[in-house]
Amino acid sequence: MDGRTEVKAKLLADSTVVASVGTYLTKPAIYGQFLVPPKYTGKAISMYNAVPTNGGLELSTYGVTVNCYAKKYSDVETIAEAVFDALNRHSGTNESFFVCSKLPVIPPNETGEDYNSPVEVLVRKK
Amino acid sequence: MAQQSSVTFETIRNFPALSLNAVQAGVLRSAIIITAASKTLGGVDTGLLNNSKQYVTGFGKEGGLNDSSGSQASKLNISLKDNEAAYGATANYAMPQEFGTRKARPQPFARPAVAIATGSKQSEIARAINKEMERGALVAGQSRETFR
Repeated sequence: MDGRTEVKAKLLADSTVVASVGTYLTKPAIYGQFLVPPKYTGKAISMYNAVPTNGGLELSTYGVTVNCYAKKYSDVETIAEAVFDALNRHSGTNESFFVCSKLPVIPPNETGEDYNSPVEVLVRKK
Repeated sequence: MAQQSSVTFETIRNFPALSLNAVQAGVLRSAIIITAASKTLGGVDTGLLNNSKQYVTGFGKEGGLNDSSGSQASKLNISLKDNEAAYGATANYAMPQEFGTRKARPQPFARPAVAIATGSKQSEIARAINKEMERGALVAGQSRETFR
């Protein structure tokens, strides 16, 4: 219940996002955790909490960073745009609301690594 | 009452200089807090990343960089305006450390540090402006003698 559950559910329900990533073991490669399964090398999404959670008096705020991975720059841009469009200013489960910022694409640090396009999501919940 | 008016008039007349002083002080304090907080966050292996976490300002103040010994880091090379500061880390693995990769778990240090610095009730810049206003007007040619 740290915002990742709501973000993952919203992304899995969006056909554009699901179509932009690959599938692994018959499921879309959208993971509500830090890492992508090591045996899977295709396009994928992972997520984690990067900033402190604010409990608030009326609304809780969770900072979730959604990492979009792909071998090609154009693919990673497509995934990040789909994630942004699916989440930004949309409502989710558990009375949540999302506000997104799309960060610049991070190029691979080593050969064999992927491009990473992080999308920061502020999840506000009652 | 007349004296009060006079002080107020002086404060307003010198507001550009006064506000620049205050903004610079607030910006510097924020940069120091962010740099200090970020050095306590994230993992440490060789120390290169921690040594490279630093701030630079457009008014000549800089700090945080440790290029004296051990894993030597390089200086942030960025041009800034008079009232700006920048925080960053120059180690080549700073970005993968902050955001993670599909193989490596992220260990964010910059974004939590910014959240810590901006989480206080009053921003450092607003606090510095209030303090500067309380200290009164600067006559042309005068400058503050305190640490900034």
